[in-house]
Amino acid sequence: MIKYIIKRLALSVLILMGVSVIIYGLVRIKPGLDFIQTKYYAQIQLDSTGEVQKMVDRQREIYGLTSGIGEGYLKWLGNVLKGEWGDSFIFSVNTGRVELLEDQYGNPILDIDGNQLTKPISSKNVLDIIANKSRISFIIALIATVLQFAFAIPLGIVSATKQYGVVDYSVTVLAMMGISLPSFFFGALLLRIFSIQLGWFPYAGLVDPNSQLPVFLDMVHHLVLPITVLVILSIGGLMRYTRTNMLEVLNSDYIRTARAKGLSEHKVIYKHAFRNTLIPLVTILAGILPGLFGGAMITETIFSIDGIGKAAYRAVTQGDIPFVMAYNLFLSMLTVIGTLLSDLMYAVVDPRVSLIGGKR
Amino acid sequence: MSDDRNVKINLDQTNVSTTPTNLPEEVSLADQAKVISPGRLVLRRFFRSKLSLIGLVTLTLMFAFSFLGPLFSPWGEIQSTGDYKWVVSVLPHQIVVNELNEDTGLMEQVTYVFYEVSDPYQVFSKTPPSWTHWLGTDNYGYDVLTRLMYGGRVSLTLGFIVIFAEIIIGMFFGSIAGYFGGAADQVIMRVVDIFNCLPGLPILMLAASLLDGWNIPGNLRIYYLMGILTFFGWSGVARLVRGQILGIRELEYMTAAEATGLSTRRKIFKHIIPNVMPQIIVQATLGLGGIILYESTLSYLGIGVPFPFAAWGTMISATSGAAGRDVLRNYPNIWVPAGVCIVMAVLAFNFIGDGLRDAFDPKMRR
Repeated sequence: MIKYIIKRLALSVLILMGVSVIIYGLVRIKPGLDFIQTKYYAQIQLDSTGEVQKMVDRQREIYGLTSGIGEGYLKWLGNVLKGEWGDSFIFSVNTGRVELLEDQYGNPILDIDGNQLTKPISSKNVLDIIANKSRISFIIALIATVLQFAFAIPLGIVSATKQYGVVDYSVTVLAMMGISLPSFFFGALLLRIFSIQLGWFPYAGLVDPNSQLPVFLDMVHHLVLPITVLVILSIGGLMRYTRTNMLEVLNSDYIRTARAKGLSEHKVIYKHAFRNTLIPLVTILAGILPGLFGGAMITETIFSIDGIGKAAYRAVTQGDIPFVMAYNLFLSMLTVIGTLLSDLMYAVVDPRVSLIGGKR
Repeated sequence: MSDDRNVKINLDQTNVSTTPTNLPEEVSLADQAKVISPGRLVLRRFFRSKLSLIGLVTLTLMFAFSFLGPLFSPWGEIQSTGDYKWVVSVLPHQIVVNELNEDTGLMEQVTYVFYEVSDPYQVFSKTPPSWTHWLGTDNYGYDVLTRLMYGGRVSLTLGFIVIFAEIIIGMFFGSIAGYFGGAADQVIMRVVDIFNCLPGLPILMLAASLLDGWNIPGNLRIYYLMGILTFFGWSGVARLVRGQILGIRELEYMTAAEATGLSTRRKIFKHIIPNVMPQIIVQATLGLGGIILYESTLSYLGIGVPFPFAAWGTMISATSGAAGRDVLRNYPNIWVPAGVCIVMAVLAFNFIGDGLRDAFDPKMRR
């Protein structure tokens, strides 16, 4: 078991290396000025003191842009491993820490009551920004995922047990609709109907200062539409997955045995069949990790929710390459961890899977 | 299912005499049997499903709409139609004057609001649907229906080209990995793992936004977009092909092929690939919907098919942001049809893919 885990870990590191090569390569193969030079192009031209040039060079050093692509990659990778992921061009967040203000002689500056004045420290570090912005995205995604499972699994089971019935067809068509809907169109449609036309839900954001509701309920009110989008768009896949698994299990011998024993259909389905459909579902559970922390770019943007998805969208459109690189790397790490977890969980849940010496 | 049988024997005519005198009239069993080829069988099963029929009809209509439609449209993709509407602008004014209140006899401040209504003037954009413009015109005065057709051309063509390229590349690497195994398998599959771990939309957005720095002319950008979509999409096909080949390699007919001393190339192209094709076709059909979604999302975000060229996603992007709120609220004729088109196309591909999967693999249906 431990040997297997170590092997998988080593493999994951290898995969992440590959991912970083691709991301770095994408950014590097662009001809002409690199992204930092582009960003500060005007300032360099206007600056006569050379200070800007120095700052730009320092930043370029972090990404290894001053050396060739191979050497530059190693430099950048070294910095990434050291936790130095660079600074975002457009975002800054409050870190929660404060700086104690001092005058030029090092004496604390006091206010009238004798307390030392402080200044909140804001950070442009992409890691801080990711940590800060993914909080709200995580809450939204968590609710959406729970709802998604709560709807998809029962529906999938019903449509499998009543295969080719009315329920099955409607569920299949609905699931397909969900998969086929582009999020930006569905979001715009919901906004148009429920927010603009009917006025049931607020147009954008997370809280409304003019709202009569308590803050928590107001947030819920704001989140109804985005979560609806997220759930409807992702429910289809899970529903069909459950259905397929359930169908497979229902056709196996032990179910026939259970029926032959004269067990009630309810017992056969919910005690014997359902439990075994949970095994493949467990692997999905771990696979949703990136979805939980990575945010939803389009949905968050349409509904103006200040999560990591919207940040990534803004970063892409405004050329904030440091943040986009970090975001991609972050998501890839989550995917790798998710896959690893799901493989391990599979072995835990299904005793037939052996990890030792087994090739899977 | 009785009609799933490959061979149908007409039992009424099997009273074949074995006497030599009857030889000329003798009809062999093979002649009486109606042989249905596997391909026909698949088609028959495919057409039996209503959903796949719906998908096929929808798709045919969409192709006709996109590729034949522009021939009947008097407008072009990037042609200001000159259609206009009369608009009056209303400007509110507010003045405060001191006035004598006749009841109290005091001077009071009274606020008057009056509206300055302009003369009607022509606006050459966002005209409502009419007989000459069934879906009205958009922000730039282009005919929405015509742009919808051209947008369909982009999405459908791009989808097919990308999926075709993905299959070629995926099949190449997948069959090498699956057939030869060993080190080749290890290397290729690790690369596939890497591509699988890349986040879908964000990395596409990164690549597409970096295209801006390449100074690519607008009309060529779509080809680069295809390249990007292919580059990040082939790994799924490779994984599928490899898995299939691993299974097929162990089958007896492959041992037979080995025993007859066939060349490796012949074994792969004549014996393995045809057997993988069904799964690939299903995967490709389902994947087409996904590619159309990705393309329209990128276009929606403004980093896909660039303006002034039409794309369904670009047409919906008129609703984004603060400036788009007017379109979102007042002009559903501009953006809703494009969204409906995307949904219909993707849905059609999914229905067909599903139907094909059931048709190819009747075991899945049961």
